[in-house]
Amino acid sequence: MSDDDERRKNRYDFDRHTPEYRERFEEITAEMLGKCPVAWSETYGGHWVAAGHDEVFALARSSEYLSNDHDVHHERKGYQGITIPTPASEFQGGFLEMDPPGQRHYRQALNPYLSPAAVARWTPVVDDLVRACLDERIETGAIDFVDDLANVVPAVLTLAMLGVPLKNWSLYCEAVHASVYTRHDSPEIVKVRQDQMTMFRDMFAQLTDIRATPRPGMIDALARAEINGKTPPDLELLGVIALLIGGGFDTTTALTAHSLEWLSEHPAERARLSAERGTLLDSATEEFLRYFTPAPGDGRTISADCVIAGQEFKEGERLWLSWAMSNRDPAVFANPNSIDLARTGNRHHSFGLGIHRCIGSNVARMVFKRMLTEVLDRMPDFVCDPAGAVHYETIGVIQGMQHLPATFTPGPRVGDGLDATIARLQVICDEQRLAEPVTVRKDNAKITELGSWFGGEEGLGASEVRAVQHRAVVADRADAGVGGEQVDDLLGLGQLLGSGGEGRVDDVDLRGVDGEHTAEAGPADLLGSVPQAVGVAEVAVDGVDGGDLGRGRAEEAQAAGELVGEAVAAVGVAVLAGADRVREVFRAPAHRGQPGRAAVAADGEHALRRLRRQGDDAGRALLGAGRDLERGQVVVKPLDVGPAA
Amino acid sequence: MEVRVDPDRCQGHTRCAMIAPDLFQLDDIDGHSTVTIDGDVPAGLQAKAAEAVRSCPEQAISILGEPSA
Repeated sequence: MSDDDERRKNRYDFDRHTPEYRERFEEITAEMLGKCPVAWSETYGGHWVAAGHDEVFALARSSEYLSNDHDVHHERKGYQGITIPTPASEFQGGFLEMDPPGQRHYRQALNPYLSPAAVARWTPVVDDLVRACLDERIETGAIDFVDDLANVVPAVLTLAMLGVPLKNWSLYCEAVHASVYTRHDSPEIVKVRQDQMTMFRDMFAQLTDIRATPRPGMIDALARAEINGKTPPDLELLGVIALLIGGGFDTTTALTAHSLEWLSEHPAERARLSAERGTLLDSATEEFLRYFTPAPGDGRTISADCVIAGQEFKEGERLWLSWAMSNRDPAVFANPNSIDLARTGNRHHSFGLGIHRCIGSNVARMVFKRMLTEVLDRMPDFVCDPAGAVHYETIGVIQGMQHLPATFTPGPRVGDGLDATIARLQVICDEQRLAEPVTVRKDNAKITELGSWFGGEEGLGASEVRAVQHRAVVADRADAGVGGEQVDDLLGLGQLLGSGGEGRVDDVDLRGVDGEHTAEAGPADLLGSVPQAVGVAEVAVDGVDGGDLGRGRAEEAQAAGELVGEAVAAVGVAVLAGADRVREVFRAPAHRGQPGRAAVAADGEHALRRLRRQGDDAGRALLGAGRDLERGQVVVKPLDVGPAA
Repeated sequence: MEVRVDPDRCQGHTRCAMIAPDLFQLDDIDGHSTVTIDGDVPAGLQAKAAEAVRSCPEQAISILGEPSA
């Protein structure tokens, strides 16, 4: 027996690119974990496969003996990077196919865009995107969670962070997904390759453009980066951009789709997760990551003879580190093939280990959690259709899904559609320079800013203002007049109303803002009782003291009932904001010793449609809304909401 | 008991700060973790410290000494 045969005596015929591997994943995994946690496989020119949790841990962290290098120009040792088998196209996959120090230089350049603090700044943008995706489908009662949500949000956000125009997202999105799920021997691959070329051309155009006229984002960081003391060639930078796009797109999509599918199959667990999200969301997210392992592993090349985890390796041998299989090791995870939303001690490997830890892990978690919770809130009874669900045929590259149709009880839209939202968010990205690194810009994105809110090419647009933001504002600003610096929402409304011309703001003037608005009776309880009430009009209502309105029309309003003045503002703003139906619940301020109230404006769609046609003039539309209210053309029903106990 | 993060092992997975935000803070730029409390971990946070140890994918967190009563 030769030395090699002796070293390779633990053997397993491992081919993760076959449909059989997907179908028999648990069986194969259990077999390898039990018999050969590190095995030699003759497939693809021969390579090691590490499946055991301890073995994968020890190997992945031994970067002194492992190389990620993909030496496409044959300048070093000719290593073949992280994909097994090596793809036909000789293209370096960014810093994931590099070793230090160059790899480290790239990560140092990009970390300030992808750290937890950097990523948190984007949360309002993600929320608005998710809201728009769900609004596109919410009235129909049917959605494809892949096509309509999980493909869209990660793609748009990734482009925003790169500094690529958001409207280009579809050009990138399908090219990336199709390249993963399309079999290389199928006729469709021609079209897929064409789409990929279009994407690469756009990437190159963006790089060139940003280099000539800098704008913030990760591409800008790459264009300015010094790697190993010099500016890298464009082709290398394109590899890095492709890595960020490939890492940002399909993986989060895969995680989200699988998790939603599982939650549909386990409605009791879904209800529990929704109800206990404060304590369960983090652990559930980690458990979905462990169980589904969207990126199932990485290849390496042994860079020096070594013995790791009791196995002898020789320089030049190839190695597959299976995060997916190590995540099912019963030595670390009790009941490894079951999902336990509250699992503890969950040190899964789904983002890799060591110096190559997924640089986008913070993005993935944030985007996943926002998509999941908004679906739980707005489509709580969704049922996925098993007949329509399409899983990737093989899971060797990404354990993904192509389609996941579902049905649910329809609900009302709360804002504008995806295209309008993307156009508006582009303005916000540009104005607020959101794609700057956290070292330059520390503040969160502000979706409520006036300039972006009612500005941009789409004109009137947003209908969502985060309740939490203005709740805090109102609670904090006892006796503050209009235009207090800290009150973006109220200021925005004040200016909006003022823009209509003199005398037109009387009935919704904000000068009577009452400092007694009880914080506990805020939108939290309102949202709790009426899940869809995220209307922009809360701004107006929270900011208006119905008992202390101004002169003129306001006095009429008061005579007609205190709520009307508030509802004028509420409905008017909702109209301007493009709400299709004014079914939102608008909270009235709670005054000293009185319960909070809300107005529900309903049955006024016809009137509102007409009003919206005049919507380019904010003040006029608002006045119109008020008139219609007073004439009873928009029915306003008072409703007790009551402060929280 | 005391809790420590080995800066050479930490790779910024952020699990510790998710579990025990009062014990661990993450660097703004690379998300790597440091311990916020010098010396003894308060009794109320000891269980979370232990869970952070068990959950760290890089096994970069260690506990020194015995839990206090």
